[in-house]
Amino acid sequence: MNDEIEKLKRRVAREKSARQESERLLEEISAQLYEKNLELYSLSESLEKLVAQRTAQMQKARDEALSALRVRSDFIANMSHELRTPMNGVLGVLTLLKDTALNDDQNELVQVAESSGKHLLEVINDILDFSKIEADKISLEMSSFAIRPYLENLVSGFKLQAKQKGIELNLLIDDDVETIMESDSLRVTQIITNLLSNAIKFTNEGGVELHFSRLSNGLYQIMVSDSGIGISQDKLMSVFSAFEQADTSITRQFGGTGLGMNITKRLVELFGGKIHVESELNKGTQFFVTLPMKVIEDSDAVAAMSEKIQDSLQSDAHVLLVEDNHVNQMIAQRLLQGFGFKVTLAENGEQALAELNKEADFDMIFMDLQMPVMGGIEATQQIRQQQLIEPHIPIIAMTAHSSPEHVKECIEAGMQSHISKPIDKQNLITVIKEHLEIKQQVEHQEKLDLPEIQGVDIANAIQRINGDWNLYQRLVEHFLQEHSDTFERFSSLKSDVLVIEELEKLEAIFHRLKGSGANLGMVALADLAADLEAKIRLFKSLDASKLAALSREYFKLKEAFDTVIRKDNQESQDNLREVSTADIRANLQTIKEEVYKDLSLAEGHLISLLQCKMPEATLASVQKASQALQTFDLANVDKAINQALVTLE
Amino acid sequence: MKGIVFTEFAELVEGTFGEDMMDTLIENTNPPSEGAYTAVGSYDFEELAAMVTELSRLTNIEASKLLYVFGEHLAKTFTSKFAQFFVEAGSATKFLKHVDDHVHVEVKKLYPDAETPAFDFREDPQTGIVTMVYESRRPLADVAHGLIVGVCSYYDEQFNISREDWYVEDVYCCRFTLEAA
Repeated sequence: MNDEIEKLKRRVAREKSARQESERLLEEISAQLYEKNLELYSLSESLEKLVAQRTAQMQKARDEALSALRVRSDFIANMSHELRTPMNGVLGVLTLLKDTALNDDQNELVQVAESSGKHLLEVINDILDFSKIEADKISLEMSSFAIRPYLENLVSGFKLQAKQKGIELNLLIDDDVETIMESDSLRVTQIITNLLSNAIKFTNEGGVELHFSRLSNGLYQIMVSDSGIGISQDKLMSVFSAFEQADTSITRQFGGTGLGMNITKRLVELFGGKIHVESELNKGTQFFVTLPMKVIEDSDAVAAMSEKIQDSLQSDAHVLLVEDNHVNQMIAQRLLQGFGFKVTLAENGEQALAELNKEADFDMIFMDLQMPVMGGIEATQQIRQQQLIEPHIPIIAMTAHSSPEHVKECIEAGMQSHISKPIDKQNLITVIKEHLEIKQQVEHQEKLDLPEIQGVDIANAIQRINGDWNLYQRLVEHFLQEHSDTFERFSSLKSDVLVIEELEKLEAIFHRLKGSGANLGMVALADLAADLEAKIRLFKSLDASKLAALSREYFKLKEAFDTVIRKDNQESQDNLREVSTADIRANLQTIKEEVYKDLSLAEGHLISLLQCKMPEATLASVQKASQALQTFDLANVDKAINQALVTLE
Repeated sequence: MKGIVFTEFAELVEGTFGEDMMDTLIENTNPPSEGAYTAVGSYDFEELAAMVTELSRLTNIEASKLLYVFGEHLAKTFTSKFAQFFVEAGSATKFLKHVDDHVHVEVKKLYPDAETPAFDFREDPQTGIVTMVYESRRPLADVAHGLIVGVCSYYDEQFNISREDWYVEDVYCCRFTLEAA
């Protein structure tokens, strides 16, 4: 019994010590837990700090990345813009090259170079647009316009392309579409142009149709349908993606950046519209664009517009022309008077303001931008601020700078439109039509029997002054005379010792040469001057070889126009130097040798030889040699000089 | 060795042979820890081994049989105490497959000083026959055997289980082969 009690006592003692032991262990563990908890707490605090720090770093990195992206977008936008200038130069020279005597192989090479160049230019334009959209730099500029003539004009631009491919091109505008709409016509043009050029590109049989219809109040549909190669269902989704075309083989076969449709889609979205596509392989494709457009039903606006139409029909619209350059003044005046307009001239912004204070009854103002005393931007701002004219009277910028930035600046200053110099008559008509809605009075000009001068688009220049050949001759003479001193100075110019002020003077000279030259159709000269101007503006440096080329071009033109004008005016013969036949022969021999050693020396001698009196037949050959030298066709230079030598025997 | 093994052993002995038997085992083996076992403590394995040997002597039941029954008892305790492991696994073979790489890993997180045996699990994808190799410095393959059987009956699954024992130096090894009955 005692044993039993002892045993139970021991068991109780064991249970008690087990309980105490477990309590001790639990306390020990909870102390450990408490410490661990503290550690965790401080760890989480420092982690939070670390997270905050990291977040700040990441925000900074993100901001930096975003700004780098902006810088990149800006760079691409600017770069693409700068790329266009030389590209236009390249294309211009290729056009000139095409007009020279080329054999079949060379002709083919030039054509390939030209089409590649044009393609490159399209690519650059696409990239420019794309980067602008990426950088959110495009905003819509709303203006009212008459939708029917606008669409007719737009579609007619594609008629030739369609005709060349042997396909139909039709425009269908529903009867219930209103007359005058408000939208950004420039961007709508871009959308439709993209769709139409794609449709024509991918259609070889059948045709393309543009159908403009009214879906509901303020909502319109542009449908471009074609009977072309179509797009397979699995590729339809990626049609609007950037850098993607339905098929990589498309790129090889048809070219393009793959940006066009993406740009189109983004533009449509900018309007708050929608675009979608339906297609069946080998059957055709339909693009549907729905765009909201405001209908201008305001009776005043319509009345004002139809009044303008009346006015223009009566040919008494009154136009204020603000332009400091006299050549440009004359050209623009002729052009406008050709439409039956009454033109009032102002030499600068200040004069324009004075003129408007005297009489505010103008229907339209044409405004040059760079003028002494007061430039076009400031003048426009003043006119709009002081309300010197009714707000609906358009001010149209005329400028050699047609970069989007310039156009934007003009529009912000209060101008409605822009026309680039040299003034293209068709452009001018479009702009005037857009704003005054005059009926197009297409002048069927009798084709003049115009002389052909390399590097000069006489036909185009003459069209600009309503085909007045005599006026053109006077303008050319005036231009050549005005700049003869300048070019004499160029020959002694040392391009490596120029100071900034001289460069700025030169820049102004090149600017004038570019504008006036282009107005007179002297394409090559204007392009060279433009390049030289750009080089000074951008890099503050003078391109000596371009300057030499510009001088060559000037003297070549002088010579060529002298010859042309001499036919009417034998007196100019007296200006030529009298030299002996032996001298001419010796000169020709020298040139013949120099051609293979020092081209510029040969060219200089050839130019001075052209200023000497010589028999008609010799002159023709020497001119041929000079022309061949322009295109570096050394074999023909040699041949022409040999011919010239034969004429002297 | 974790205290839970000792307290569960005490539970089993007291439940099967009466409370006095546990007192007797402790008093006869005179363990250094004085036998005041708690589930949260840790004690030398030798104390358990001595008690098992003494129990075998007193009851005349083979030690291996006692350990096997103890394994089955532990299986019951574990399946109720740590039910989430078993529910999670869903079947006997799936649970056994993850004893080594999941259950024992979690045990070590909770008790860093716990020494768990190694269980190598293989399943023949064609025949579905499962082999598990037990390796430990402690001769507790019988406990493992009981545990496996206990797990199978928890899931109410029938297996024919055969085993093969060997040593490699001081490591006890045992291969269990489970074949669906």
